Amino acid sequence: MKRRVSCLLFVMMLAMLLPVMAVADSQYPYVTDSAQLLPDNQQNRLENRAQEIAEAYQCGVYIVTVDDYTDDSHYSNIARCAEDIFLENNLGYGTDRDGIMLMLSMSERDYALIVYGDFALSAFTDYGQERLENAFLDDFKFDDWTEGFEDFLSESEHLLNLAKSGTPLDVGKREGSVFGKLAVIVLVSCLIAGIVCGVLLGQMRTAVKGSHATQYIAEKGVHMRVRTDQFTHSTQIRRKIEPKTSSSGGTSVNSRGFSGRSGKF
Amino acid sequence: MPSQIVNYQCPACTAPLEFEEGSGRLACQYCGSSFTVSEIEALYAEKNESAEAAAVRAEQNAEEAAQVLEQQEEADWDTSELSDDWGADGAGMKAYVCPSCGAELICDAATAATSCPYCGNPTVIPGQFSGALKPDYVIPFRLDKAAAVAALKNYYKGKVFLPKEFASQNNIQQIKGVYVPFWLFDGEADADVVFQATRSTRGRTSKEEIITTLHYYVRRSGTVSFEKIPVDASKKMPDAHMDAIEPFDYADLKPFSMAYLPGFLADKYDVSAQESGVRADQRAENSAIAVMTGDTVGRYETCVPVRKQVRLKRGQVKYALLPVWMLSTKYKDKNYLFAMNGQTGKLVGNLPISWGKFFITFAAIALPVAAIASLFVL
Repeated sequence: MKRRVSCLLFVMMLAMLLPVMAVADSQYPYVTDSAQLLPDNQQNRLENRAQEIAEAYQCGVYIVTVDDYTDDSHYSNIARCAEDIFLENNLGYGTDRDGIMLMLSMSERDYALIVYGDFALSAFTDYGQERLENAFLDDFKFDDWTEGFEDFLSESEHLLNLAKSGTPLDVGKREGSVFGKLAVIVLVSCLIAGIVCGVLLGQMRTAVKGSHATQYIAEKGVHMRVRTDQFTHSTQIRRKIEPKTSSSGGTSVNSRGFSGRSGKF
Repeated sequence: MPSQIVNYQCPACTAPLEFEEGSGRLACQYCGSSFTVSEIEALYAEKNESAEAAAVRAEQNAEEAAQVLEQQEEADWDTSELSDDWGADGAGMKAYVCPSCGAELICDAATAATSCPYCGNPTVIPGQFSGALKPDYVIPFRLDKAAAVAALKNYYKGKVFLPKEFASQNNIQQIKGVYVPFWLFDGEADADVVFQATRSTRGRTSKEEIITTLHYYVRRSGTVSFEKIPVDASKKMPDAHMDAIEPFDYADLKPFSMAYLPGFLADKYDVSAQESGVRADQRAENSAIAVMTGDTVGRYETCVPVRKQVRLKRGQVKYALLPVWMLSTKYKDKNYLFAMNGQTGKLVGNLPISWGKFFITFAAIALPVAAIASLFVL
């Protein structure tokens, strides 16, 4: 694997010399398909799209595919491998090297999603990364690589856009459409106004028919004859407690400054 | 998905029994007793049988008691003691009829009716004083006209949706003191109510939340005695108004005397005791069930009545005149009636609503709330 990763690094450096590939700040291709999952035209299209996103949001969005990250290498963890690729190739945008990378290793169907840089870490929270995973994993399950990578880019762009507007997607800050929020505001304000006006209206209508005669019960006029309280049976309901996931929100970061997730696709 | 199971209790100490896979028996962790499944099932089958037998015996007892009661009750209200014999007092009584609403008013010789207190018609026609029952009781007016006028003015204050011109156009000085005829009903209600009640406890392990619900068969049966349930005997007096100005303090209830009438009008009854009795029946039934429910509700988390049975033993009916200050006023071709309890001062009446003011107030609350909410949400 060390040889393959080294090859990958060489390819990336070679790509730097190719005048066709006009990459942004990091000088390296956004899409590196060593596993040859994508036809050339689709790879180019994804490359251009990633470049547009990177330039618009000053955050690199990278896709890397390899046949087997463990082959001839010391890596036992795909996330670690991805982090090394990110660091050693100087990936990322700007001085903070903001970037997100999706790496696929085809032999065991491993993937790693890593995030680096202050802005990228704020945009791709733990909850946002979970949303991002859900966007592409369904496609990879059916070997639909192009669709999966396009979904990865689209969802990344969406999360970057939210972060840029000051409302990064996180637990407790669920996104909702503007119309939905307006509807909630209108409903709540009408409800409060309705309650207040209802109380004031109630003061205008005081003639109400009586339905009881409690005030006319004779003194010591209640004689209870039968009082039966009989236990019949008990029932029990058992409900599983679902483990809570990052209910406090935010982005968890390791000692190398990366946040991320990995797994099987 | 939550699962539901039925627990058996230990026959020795009533703690929950747990199934031990090793021994295949049901064991109590508290007292150490252990039973086979078949022993427990047989025990519970026996318990259920005796519970059913007890329930059947209780039902039979209840039916027997009900049969005894049935012989006594469901008779009509007892109006045998009502009388139309005014004696010498009748000579001094005058009667008036309102040609607009049909009100029949009586008063003493010294009092004159100048307008109808119900519809405000200024022309009332003298009529024949005859056929009127002599009241058994009267509660004299405790509050005078000045107090009634002040109370009505105060009633208008602070009513945001009241049209501005209503209070100014109101002929508030035309407020009149009227003795309104009431039937006062004595009786007993025998109520038998069965409930399904529950109590629950919550527990928690590291993996599960456990809700244990104990189910109970609850029965309450008893007698509730009522005294002088008032039902107004005048068709022209809206029941809602008369119910709303209750209660009257019966400590002031006096045997009827002409001495209380001067200066006030009295309405003649035009709803019979039997007709009014239907309302008294309903109020007595509802209160009897409420008493039975009140005896159970505090002990359980949920208490749902599954069977209600009320038998009424109808007693005597008395005829009384109770004091009410009344004002009938017209606004935009609609009649508005205000009634004040002439003894306690409780005032009721439905006011006209200015819908323009309503919507302005609604907007004046909704818009600032929406503006503040948008600062936080958007």
